[in-house]
Amino acid sequence: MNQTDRHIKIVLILLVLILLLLVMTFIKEYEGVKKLETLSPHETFANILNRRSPFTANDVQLIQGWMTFDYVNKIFGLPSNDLETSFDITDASYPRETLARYAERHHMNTAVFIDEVQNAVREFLTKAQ
Amino acid sequence: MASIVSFLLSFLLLYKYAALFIISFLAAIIVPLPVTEVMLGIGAFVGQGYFNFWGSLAAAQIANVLGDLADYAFARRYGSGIVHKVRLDRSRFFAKIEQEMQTHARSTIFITRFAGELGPLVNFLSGAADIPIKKFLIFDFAGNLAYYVGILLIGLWAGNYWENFSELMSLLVSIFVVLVIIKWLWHIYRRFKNNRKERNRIAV
Repeated sequence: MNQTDRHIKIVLILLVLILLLLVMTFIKEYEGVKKLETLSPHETFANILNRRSPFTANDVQLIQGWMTFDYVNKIFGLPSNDLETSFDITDASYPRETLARYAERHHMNTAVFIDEVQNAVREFLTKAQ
Repeated sequence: MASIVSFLLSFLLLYKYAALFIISFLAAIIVPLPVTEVMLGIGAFVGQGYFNFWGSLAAAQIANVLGDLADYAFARRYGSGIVHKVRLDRSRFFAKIEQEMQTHARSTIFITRFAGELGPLVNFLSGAADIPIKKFLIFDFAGNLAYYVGILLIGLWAGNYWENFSELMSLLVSIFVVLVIIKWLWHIYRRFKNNRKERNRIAV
């Protein structure tokens, strides 16, 4: 067996080992994801395409810094000026600005601001019910 | 969530389809962006009513095909010069890669649309190996379409839990990449072996 053959064989063996490791990790991750009981594994294409995922008060913890005010308003069904009023926002960039960027520009702690936004949204949704 | 993904998601929320076009185009060319995670997020945004499925598919598909074509055209024009300059044309291994590309162009182009950074590499190889543009376009288009429809539907199906699927999908892409490389290397190994057998037979 010449050197090229030997090198290729070694690389192939290493790749197969990497593949096995990846597959095992994939199976472990999949088991974790399967526990999300709200997901139905058997849906037709039409059903999936028409699927809508309404956010509720229980979902406010999904609000993150990368989200814009506009997006948060949309997914939680908030009136466009609700957060504007709650936080006394006068910036022209509202609502097309991310929560993290807004907090940064106003020298606020991002995590604290997001927490406040989550509370404001939860309060609105609870009142609306 | 990784900061690059957060940045791209913000970019998408602010500039929507224009941002999606730019991200898909850059990723297709060679920039290593987390497109799988981003597209999962877009699928979820479709479910939330913030993006349109067909608009997202069209923007990503067109951008990706244009990016792939840019790589292909660049390699077609300058590929042989670069290969000669870095002396790859003297490498028997590289010659085998080119042969492999020419023999299995259709399946290689199609499958590597699912295999992350191998996609741009195959685009360059296709151009350098003079794969006919029509063949390249057909299988590139078909592969990209299958990938984007699949990933958008998974994001749409996962809905608000799409972030839980990011790791899973990244692992799947990695598995694909490794499988494609194993397939290539195995074929190249067989070519070397067959060539040696032929040479030995002729010597005898």
